[in-house]
Amino acid sequence: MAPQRPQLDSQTLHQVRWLLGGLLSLLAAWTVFYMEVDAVVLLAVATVAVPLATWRPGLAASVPGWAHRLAFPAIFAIFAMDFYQTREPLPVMIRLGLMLLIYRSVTLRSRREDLQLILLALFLVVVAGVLTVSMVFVLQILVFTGCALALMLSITLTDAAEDKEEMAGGKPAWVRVEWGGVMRRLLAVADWRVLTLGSVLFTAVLGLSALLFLMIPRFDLGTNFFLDQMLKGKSSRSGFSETVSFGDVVKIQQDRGLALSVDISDPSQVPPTPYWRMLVLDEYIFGGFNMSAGLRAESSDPSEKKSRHNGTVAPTAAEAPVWTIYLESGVSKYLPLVGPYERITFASPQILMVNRTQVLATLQNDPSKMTAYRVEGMLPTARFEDVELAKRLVGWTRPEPKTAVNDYNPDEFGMEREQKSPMYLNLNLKAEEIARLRDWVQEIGAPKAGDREGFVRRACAWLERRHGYSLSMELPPGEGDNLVRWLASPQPGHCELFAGALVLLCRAADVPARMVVGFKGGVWNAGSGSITVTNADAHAWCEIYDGERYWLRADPTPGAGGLSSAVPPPPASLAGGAPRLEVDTGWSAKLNGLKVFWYRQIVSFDQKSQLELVRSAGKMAQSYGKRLLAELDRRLRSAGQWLSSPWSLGRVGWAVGALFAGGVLVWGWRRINVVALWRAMRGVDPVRREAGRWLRRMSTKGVPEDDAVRAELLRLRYGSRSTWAPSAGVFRAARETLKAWSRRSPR
Amino acid sequence: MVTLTQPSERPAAAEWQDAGKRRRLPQDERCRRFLWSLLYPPPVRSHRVAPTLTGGVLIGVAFGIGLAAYNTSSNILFITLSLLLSCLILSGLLSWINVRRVGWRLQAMAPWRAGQDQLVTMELRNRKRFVPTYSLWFELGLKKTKLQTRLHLRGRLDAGGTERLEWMVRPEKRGLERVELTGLGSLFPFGFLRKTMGCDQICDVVVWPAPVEYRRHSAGGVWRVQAGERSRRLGQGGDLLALRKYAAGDSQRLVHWKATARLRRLMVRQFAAEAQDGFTLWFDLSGARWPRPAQFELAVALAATLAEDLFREGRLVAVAVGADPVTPVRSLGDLERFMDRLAVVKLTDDSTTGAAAGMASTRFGSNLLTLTPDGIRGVSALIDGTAAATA
Repeated sequence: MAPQRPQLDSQTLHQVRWLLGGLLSLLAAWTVFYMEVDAVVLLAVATVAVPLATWRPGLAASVPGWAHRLAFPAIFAIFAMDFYQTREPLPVMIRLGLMLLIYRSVTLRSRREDLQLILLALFLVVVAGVLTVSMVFVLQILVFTGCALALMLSITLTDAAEDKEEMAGGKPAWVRVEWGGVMRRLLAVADWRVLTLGSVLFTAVLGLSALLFLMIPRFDLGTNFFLDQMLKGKSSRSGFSETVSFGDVVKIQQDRGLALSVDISDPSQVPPTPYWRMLVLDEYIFGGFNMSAGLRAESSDPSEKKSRHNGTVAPTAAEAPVWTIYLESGVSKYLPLVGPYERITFASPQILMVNRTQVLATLQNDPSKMTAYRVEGMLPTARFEDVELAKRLVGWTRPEPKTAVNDYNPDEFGMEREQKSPMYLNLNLKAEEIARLRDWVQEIGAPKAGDREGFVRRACAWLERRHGYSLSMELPPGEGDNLVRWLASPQPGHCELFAGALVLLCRAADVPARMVVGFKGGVWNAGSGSITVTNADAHAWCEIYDGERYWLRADPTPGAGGLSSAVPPPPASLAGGAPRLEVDTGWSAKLNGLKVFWYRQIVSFDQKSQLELVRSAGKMAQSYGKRLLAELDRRLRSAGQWLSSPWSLGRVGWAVGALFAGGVLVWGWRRINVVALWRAMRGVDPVRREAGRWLRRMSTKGVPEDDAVRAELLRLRYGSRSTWAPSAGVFRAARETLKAWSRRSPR
Repeated sequence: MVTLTQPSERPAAAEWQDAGKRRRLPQDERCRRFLWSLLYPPPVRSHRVAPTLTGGVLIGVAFGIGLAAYNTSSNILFITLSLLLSCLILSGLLSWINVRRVGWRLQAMAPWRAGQDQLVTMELRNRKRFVPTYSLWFELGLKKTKLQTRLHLRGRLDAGGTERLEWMVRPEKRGLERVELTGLGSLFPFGFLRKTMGCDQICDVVVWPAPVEYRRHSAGGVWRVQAGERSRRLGQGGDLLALRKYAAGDSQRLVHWKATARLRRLMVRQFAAEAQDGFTLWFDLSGARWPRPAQFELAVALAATLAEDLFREGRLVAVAVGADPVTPVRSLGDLERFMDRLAVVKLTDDSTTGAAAGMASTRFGSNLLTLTPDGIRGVSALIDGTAAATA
């Protein structure tokens, strides 16, 4: 007989319950870390106090009564003060939830308080999920579900197990806990069958959740209330902004995290090295590039939220490529685009500022969660049309240089500022610095007869000869403009320095130029079938105006190719549907593929997806049904043909033989009892087997357990052979007993 | 006072019942039950699942999250909603698994004695192969006493294991009592749902009158013992009176080995009592004799107590209640039958007290023990008309 497993006593159940509550609190508290909410102090308190109280519940029991009485008024006062100061409902609510969670975690809890703790934790986990739309949410909600269910189970068992709480020294006895002993008791109680069943049921819950997620009907109510809109605009954590100082792009490159994932309907449209434009910076001032007010004014300023925003490309009859871009939170509010587009569509209405001339699109705020948008008809290009600029440049004269940067007056810097236009020719430098630039232009070879492209190529080559590439920037000591000092030195530099230097050289040569920042390249994730761009792909390059119509991309960073060809290469037919990008198959690609799956199938799942799913399921069922019917029909026809064909002796013999074999099989099965034969072959004693059969019959008929014949049968079934009575007599007696019992028992 | 501390236990036990498939009744029984159910709708005995307060909160939270999910089209909220609903479904599933193949049986060790603690037990068995059962409760009640309780399965009932839950009750009055198992319930596993199930197990038990304190009067020598004489009653004397089949509890020294060998079954000897001073106890039920109900109850209790004591002493020859025929008391079973009768006696409208008393002396002969009111509260026991004891 197997030893009986010990039972968990009430105290151990209490201790397990306390431990689970602590774990749940920590999990929920740490979700605040993912939200852009100022709660560092509370998080620090939670990180220290909750584990401490969980480890030593005696501390929680020692909290004096007056502290409990003061706790809620104090928390409410802090909440009111917080709201009065910040006027941000959601962060204040999150901080309130965190405070209540900490309080509940460090004080002894009854059933009701445990339920409050679960609700508070659910609130924090769900809000974090909604605000971040991160894949981590799945992990958090799964762990939360497991912990919460285990806690609820322990509450139920605790409530059933105890009559009255045992007290010791004014505290519940269970607070004196020795966790090693608790773990040992839990291990002693654990049963692999129950654990397996628990695991299976938990997996079933996940499967059922997935099914419900797919089946819950979706309606578009059109209210579009989003929690993230209750958070005031935060600057992006590692992203681009309208003011880029030298080194900012390199800082972004240090982050190896995912920046965007791109699905494309026609991978052949993806160039070998896509340039994802996000920002155009035209104004050079104080050693950095900014977006000027003139350039900013070119953007439309819509006040209405829309899901669809039109671009400059006219709709074409041909099937235009559709790009679905998933932009990670914290990257930027400037949407990465590789060229002019027909339309941008969001899942929910957004305020989008669009600069159609410069092909820029900007969200109103930095999104705190992943932003998905679909771009239709976007064709990658290295040149951007700007007809208006050519008109404005007619009659332009070079202004007199200023003697010092401090004398800078934006309104006096040429026609761009006066006309509130972008500043593509502005050199906000001292006269001697401008003179040095012009010297270098002469050294490179000033553009003659409008050969601007030749000048740019020469300038790129000149820069590459003088400077190597390095991510670490070491400017030579001295005074004056950083970029000019770097140009004068042989120091290596990074993309921003090269791009900035080329812009300055072009402007010194009276060629309109501007800096562009965004991402360059990306890898093809074969697993998910999408393009993955990481923050390490952040890049800065230039665009040079050709004087007539187009801005041409020029990337002076060594090895980048310099000035791009004005005419984009035609789409290539691709093997396996993969674009001409480097293919990534590593672990990071698998993780990114998972993220893409999360974005595609979970986050973007909507009514349309649901209908598609239903349609595809219907199609699949129809297809399988048709195949099944066809197979059945084929077999029936085959059988019919076989039967209708002339009967030869051999065919008759086959038919008779098959019928005979079938008959023998059925007879043998019923007569020989194949199962019994198999058991006998495995060594089961036939007498014991027969005794078992009689015992089953007696149990069915309800023969009492103290019946003498039954005892004999039990001996035959399980007893030693030496104690056996003659088996035939016992079976005969059993038959008589059963008959007698049947006669006696009323039906 | 001497009391019968160990009455022979006659377990009143219901059949095993479980939460599984119901036993299919015969056709005529089903028709009969159906027709009766039209007149008297039976209580709901099927499984019922209702949300608890916690479950209500969960449903409320799920409703709120669902509302938010539809308003925001946020799939994160739809995921949360799906998980909450799945947990609710899992809760129902586990609750069903928990009670599945669990059997229970109500047992009450009859007879009971009024004013004494009695034991009602619930036997549980878990016939599942792998999964234990947790956290069940059973609703028990005494119908006559109008007492209800809830017995909890506090620990784990392992697969294939059995468990025994006990309820100590103290019936206040004699009579027939019915122990009812009205239902079982469980909050397992998460407390979201309260699963209840009607049960229809009952155990009818007889509650014997309570033992009372009484005082024997030694004057007159009515209780005297005349040693040496033999009688045809069973007792602890030296003369062999009869042989009978062995019964559990008989001393091995009483085994008659020759008869056992001859009859091929265990036989034991029965001896005659040594004295002839046995009493015949007659309890008169006429309403004229017992005008006060409280006094009547005291008389019933005194009769039971005297019967026990005299049987212990081997001096109870016969008993009679009212106009019932006189029953000789030869075994414990005879005494128990008398106690059962005393448990349910009621006053009759017969007013022929004097005549009955006169007739009694002719019916029962000498050493007749009768009871009569003593004052307004007390009761006296008379032996042949002489006061012998008072309660």
